Amino acid sequence: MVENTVHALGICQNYMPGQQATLGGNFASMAVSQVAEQLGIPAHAIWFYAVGGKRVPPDYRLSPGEELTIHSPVDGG
Amino acid sequence: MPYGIQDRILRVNLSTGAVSCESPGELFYRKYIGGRGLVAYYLWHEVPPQADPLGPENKLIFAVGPLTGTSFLGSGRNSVGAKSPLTGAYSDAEAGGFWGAELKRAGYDALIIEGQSDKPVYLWIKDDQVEIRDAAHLWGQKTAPVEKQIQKELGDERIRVAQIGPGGENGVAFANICNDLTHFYGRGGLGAVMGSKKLRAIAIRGQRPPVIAHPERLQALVRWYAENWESMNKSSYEYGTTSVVMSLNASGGLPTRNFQEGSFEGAANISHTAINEKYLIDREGCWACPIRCKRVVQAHERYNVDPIYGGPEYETLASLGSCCGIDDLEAVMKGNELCAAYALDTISTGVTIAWAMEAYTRGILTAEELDGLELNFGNGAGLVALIEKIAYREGVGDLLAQGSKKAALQVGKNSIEFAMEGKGQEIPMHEPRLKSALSIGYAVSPTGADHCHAFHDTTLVSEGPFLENMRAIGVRQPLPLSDLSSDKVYNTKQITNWRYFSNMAEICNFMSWTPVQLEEALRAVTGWNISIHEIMDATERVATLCRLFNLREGFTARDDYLKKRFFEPLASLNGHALDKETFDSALTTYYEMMGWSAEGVPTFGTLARLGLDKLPGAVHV
Repeated sequence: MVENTVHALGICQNYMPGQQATLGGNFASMAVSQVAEQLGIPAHAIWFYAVGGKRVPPDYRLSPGEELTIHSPVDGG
Repeated sequence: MPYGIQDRILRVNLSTGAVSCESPGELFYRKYIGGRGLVAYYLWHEVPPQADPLGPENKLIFAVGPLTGTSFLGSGRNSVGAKSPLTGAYSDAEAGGFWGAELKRAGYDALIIEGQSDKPVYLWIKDDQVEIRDAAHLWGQKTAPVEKQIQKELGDERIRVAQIGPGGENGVAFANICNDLTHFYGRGGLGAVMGSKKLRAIAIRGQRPPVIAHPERLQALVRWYAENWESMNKSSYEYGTTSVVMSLNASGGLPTRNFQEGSFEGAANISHTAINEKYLIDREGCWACPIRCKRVVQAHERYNVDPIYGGPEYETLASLGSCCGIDDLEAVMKGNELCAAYALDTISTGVTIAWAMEAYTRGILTAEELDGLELNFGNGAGLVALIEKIAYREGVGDLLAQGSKKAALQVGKNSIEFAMEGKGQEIPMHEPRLKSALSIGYAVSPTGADHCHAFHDTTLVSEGPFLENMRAIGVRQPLPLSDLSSDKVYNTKQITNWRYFSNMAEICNFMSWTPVQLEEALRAVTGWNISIHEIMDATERVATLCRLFNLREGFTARDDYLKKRFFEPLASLNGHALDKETFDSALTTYYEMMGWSAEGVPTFGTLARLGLDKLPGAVHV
């Protein structure tokens, strides 16, 4: 099975297991919002989801091997 | 005896060599709090109308806040202000590091530099000992050797140094001031003001920390944050602000090729992972902060990048990178190093060069006029060459050293249309077509467009702890990014004023302190029975004072503009554009909420409410 990779940016990282910025796992066929929920990232910490660098809706379902990035709200920096 | 503050303002006149100290009294601090509040007060009272920003009448003011120099986490910042040579308006800029804490611990809440020296000097402050020293041997050098030399000749490596570089010496309109080499009072050209005074550096060592009113209450707050910071700020440690590149790129709001586009095909090459995987060698931090969010990078291939100058943060990656269409990370890092070594603001540098690139692309500037550079977007070598030319005002660098607005007005051919500035200050790397409240924030900021002064809508689009915390300052509800209704304007006003407070108390915006916790910190440190209500009044007082300063200089509501490009569709946002009529209406609503007329002039009632009605010369309707 080809695993998925999940990246959590900004404050989303703070909620990831072990506060890792990136982790691998089999999330194929799950909606990206379900992935975030399973990882413990609360909705208020999420701005949007992107797969392969492109923005996707919360109900987008991952295919095997796809990379998901969960983006947090961006303030001044 | 006052707590938290030192109640001492140090004044140094470089024309006469006079040094004096004054105590404005505790109520003064209660009214203006510190930092930006003190800058605004002294600029209004002491810089005469129409003063030449680079003349002896302009004053350069360094100010700290009541929390500075204490153990409160995130209190390592301080403000610098003057009338800006870039905009002709009020200007202040803030930086982290250790210098502000050192000024406070030397026994001062502010340092006011007056007059002009006739030869290069630097200032040495060690508690009550204040000395103006010769700096002829330092003039013309990059910042790193100057800091080392000052510490060597004063015999103490713990001395903290704020200084300008060749950019400020040569009067570059967006030259900045740095401290500890990697912390920058970035915006508004304050380095040129310091350079005009022939003041190369200010070295400080202090051993008189402020006295805390309720140390146990302060310590309880410090202990809570120290025990929990990793759960709130781990990503800041790991990536600083660099991951913002990929977030804004995926959102369609990454300033690209001079704001003509909102997504950059080379974003991954200048991203947080690209930096961490190959170039990051260390991290640095500030006074009283465990996070260490600052980058330290090194490169040896296409460019040698010296780690002594730290590394790029988001604003620099975007302004020297995507905004110039450059995805050569080593060129961007070299540009960051040169801007640090010459003490130039990276945002204004990048956006001014992006203007020149667009002018070249449109045939308005030729390669001959650009000293032989084929200045297409994406030309990393051209970027590096131009930074050198700007710092020394060589060739076309002399044109660009004025900033994009004045350069465009000089070149003509309608190139002002794509000089991306507000009040003459280059737009930072946040797209108002994505975050609509920034349109108001950029327009009304007294310093010209500044992301640190403005409300970023993304933080308040849904219910959650942040919104709940911000309800303490009056924020009411979450709203969509594109909303510019009166509800959004109200959120904008409240958050913008709260950001004034950050720069008055001198608290880092990246910390997760809530308004209630900051109120408690201020009470614990000063012993004042201060409330959020009183704090918000103080922020509005300072915002209005900045407005009065600009009105006195001849600025009007017409200067609260947003460039035409932002009212044109952005393909990466599915063609979204700001609507001019909606923007104008929101701006008027903002004025009304601030107690200003439709022309942006405070009413008498507003001045009276804020205790500003007796200011001599203050205009009102």
